[in-house]
Amino acid sequence: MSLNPVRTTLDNGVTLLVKQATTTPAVAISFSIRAGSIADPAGMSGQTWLLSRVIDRGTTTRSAADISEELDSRGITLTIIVTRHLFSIGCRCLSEDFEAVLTLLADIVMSPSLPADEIAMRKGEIITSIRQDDDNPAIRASETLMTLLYPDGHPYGRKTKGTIDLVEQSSRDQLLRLHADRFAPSELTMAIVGDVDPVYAADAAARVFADWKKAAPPALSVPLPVVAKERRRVVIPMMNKAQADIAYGFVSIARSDPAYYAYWLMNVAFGQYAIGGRLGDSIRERQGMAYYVSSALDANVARGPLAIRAGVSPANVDRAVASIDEEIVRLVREGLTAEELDESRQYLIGSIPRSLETNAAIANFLQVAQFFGLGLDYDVRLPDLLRAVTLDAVNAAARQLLDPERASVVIAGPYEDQVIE
Amino acid sequence: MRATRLDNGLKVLIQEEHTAPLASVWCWYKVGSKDERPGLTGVSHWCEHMNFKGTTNIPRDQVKGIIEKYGGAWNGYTWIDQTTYLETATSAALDRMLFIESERMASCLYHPDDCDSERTVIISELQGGENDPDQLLDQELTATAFKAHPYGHPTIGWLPDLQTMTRDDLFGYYRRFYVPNNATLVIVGDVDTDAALRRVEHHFGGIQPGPAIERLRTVEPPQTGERRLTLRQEATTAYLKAGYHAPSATDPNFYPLLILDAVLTGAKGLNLWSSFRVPPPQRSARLYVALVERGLASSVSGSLAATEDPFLYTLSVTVNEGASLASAEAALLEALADLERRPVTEAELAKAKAQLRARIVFDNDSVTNIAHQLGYYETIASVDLVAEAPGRIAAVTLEDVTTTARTVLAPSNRTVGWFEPQ
Repeated sequence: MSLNPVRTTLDNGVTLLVKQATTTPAVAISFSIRAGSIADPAGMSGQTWLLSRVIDRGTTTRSAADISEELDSRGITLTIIVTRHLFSIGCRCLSEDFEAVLTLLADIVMSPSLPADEIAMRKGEIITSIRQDDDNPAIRASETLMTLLYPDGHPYGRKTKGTIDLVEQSSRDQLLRLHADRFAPSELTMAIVGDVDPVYAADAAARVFADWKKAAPPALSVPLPVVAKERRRVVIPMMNKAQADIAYGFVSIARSDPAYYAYWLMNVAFGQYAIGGRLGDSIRERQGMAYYVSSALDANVARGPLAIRAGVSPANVDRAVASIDEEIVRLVREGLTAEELDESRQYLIGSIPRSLETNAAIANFLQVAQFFGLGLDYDVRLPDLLRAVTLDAVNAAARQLLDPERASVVIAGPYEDQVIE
Repeated sequence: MRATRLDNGLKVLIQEEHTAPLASVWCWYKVGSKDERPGLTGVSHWCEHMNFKGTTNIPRDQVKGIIEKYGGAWNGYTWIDQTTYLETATSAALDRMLFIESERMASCLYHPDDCDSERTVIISELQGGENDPDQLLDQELTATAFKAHPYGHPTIGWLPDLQTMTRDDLFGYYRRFYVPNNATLVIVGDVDTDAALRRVEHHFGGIQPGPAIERLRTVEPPQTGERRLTLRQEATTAYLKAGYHAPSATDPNFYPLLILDAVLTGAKGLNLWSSFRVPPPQRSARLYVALVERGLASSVSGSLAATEDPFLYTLSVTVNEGASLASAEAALLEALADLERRPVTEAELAKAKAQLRARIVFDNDSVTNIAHQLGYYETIASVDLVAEAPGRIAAVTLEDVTTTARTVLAPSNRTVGWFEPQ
């Protein structure tokens, strides 16, 4: 059973992906614009985030109250997400509301009015949220790891929300310019998945975007990250907390790297398979040190991070970090077994139907496939791509990437350095 | 949906859904933190952890990957009324899933070393939760609101109990509650009902029933005056909560309160497993307008769950940087008092019902979510509530909402909690 979505390009350059699915009388609509946080002007990180908080608070023809009423009366919540490369707006709606909701989303994307009072209000919320993050050891550890891996203002190392000062300084004019510069038909991919006729969906999309004409903006580039040559360690003491969070990572590879599938399988076996892979076995199951421990590979347009995260009692921080080191050394020295590789591979292949069950999950899958140029038949090709990976390739990936001597390590929580490494 | 009961008392609910080649199996037990006596708080949740650690026929070293090999996922959760376990995988793995659940019911090992190792994992889970001031305040508010009913203690347990509980405490509790006559098995997906039932009989039919379980019968006495608590800790952000004793799932006031919650904070739907993943539609909701749109709060939410006994309806506010707890509380209580002067309108009622109708559709978008609902309601009351809910929501009148608001939101019924950063 393949997804077999229909892809069309509207006259103005908008890309449309449609997949009919009749499980429930509902539709998932997903807009992705190539305008993620890397579009923040130099020295002004957080602007895209602020735009994401205010873009749906008024358009040239709808007030904020109009939009609220249109959404709330249909039981709809917009999910607006800013990642490094994408600005995404999505929602689920009942099939009967499809065209009205599509029209509203298109209006929000094309013609936000960004009212000054709304900007002021949302700034206050973002500042509160930054203050909450400041008090959250898991977030502090993860954000600091990214600044260690991607230093010197690299777009992957910046804080997506910015800082309180930068939020306060952001002006309406800057947000209008950001929108004018980056939001254009060529940058938008829409995925529509659910109980809706594909021809009707495509016609509706063509109608709502008919008048949107803009030239494609210049492509944004991301500098090559510099890979660390030595181990770095940062401790953020937060003595008011009960538990410490560890973030431990490396700069990995780009999504387009031919070795991607080998890295993916290596990461699954190392830090994900069955509650945390080898890391989970050691740190949670055998040593009982952590409620959570896992690793995540985020291969991106540029070389993204592989990040290991764990939450442990302050007394166990040193032992947990040592255990991560040991598991890495063992993996690099001995490699995975053929059985471990097969299990991870079977797991990923077998998970495909489950991961493509809901409309929202399918829409997300189609967006990722489109963004990375993986093809409309990616769901069909994926099993063979995974089957083609050899044990040698996986072990080479581990050797290439993992080395405790080059790891960046951050500890945030009720912990202070006893020993200088 | 077919409902049957095996001779040993196991309830079985099977619903065919042929939209994807998947099946979801959930095994529910009527045991949660409300069944725990003092000294053993957290034992239900700890047992849940132990029940992933090998059985007589699934050696400890074969647990890892037991369902992942089939592309599946498994999980479990424990709350105040229930403990449940699930697998979702391709329907070809149905027999495997039933085998795992039958083993879990009858044959878990509770090796002393595993009990010790899991103690620190659970304490780590508890401390991770306490890192979040909002969660800490919720725990303390609930404990303040209940002075008799065991809903008052947190499901994860109190730390001293977690430090002292023994392997025998855990195993004794497991043997008492994990019996077929205290469980409901749910199967939803691409299965044939008759064939699935035969496999259920094969795996579970030989498990002996246990003695009838005598329940704790504490009834929380009516609250007769407002209670307050303030937590002061080093932190960055202030949080406010107001908790009100709320009707149980079978109380006629439950659905009017569900509507009232939608009017105040936006409709969440009725699925504890999936509803929280997407925030409610709430921009025109009364408390959002009164708090967030006035710059006093960065978020406001309402929490009302279907429970066996009366639990809490809790309103939670994250106070904006620069605003005060006192001003946020005043605005919150003023908006609630305003329900007397400015009762819920027909338009608000219609909007709340439309929201709930949509959310119930969204919540049934996977075999996992559908199976959750069947088992959840059968465990806390009756599976019939799943089918009845849309009708009961549609039947709520303005008068019902007004009466419920007056009863539930009475000042004497509330507990107010502040988290004040130092």
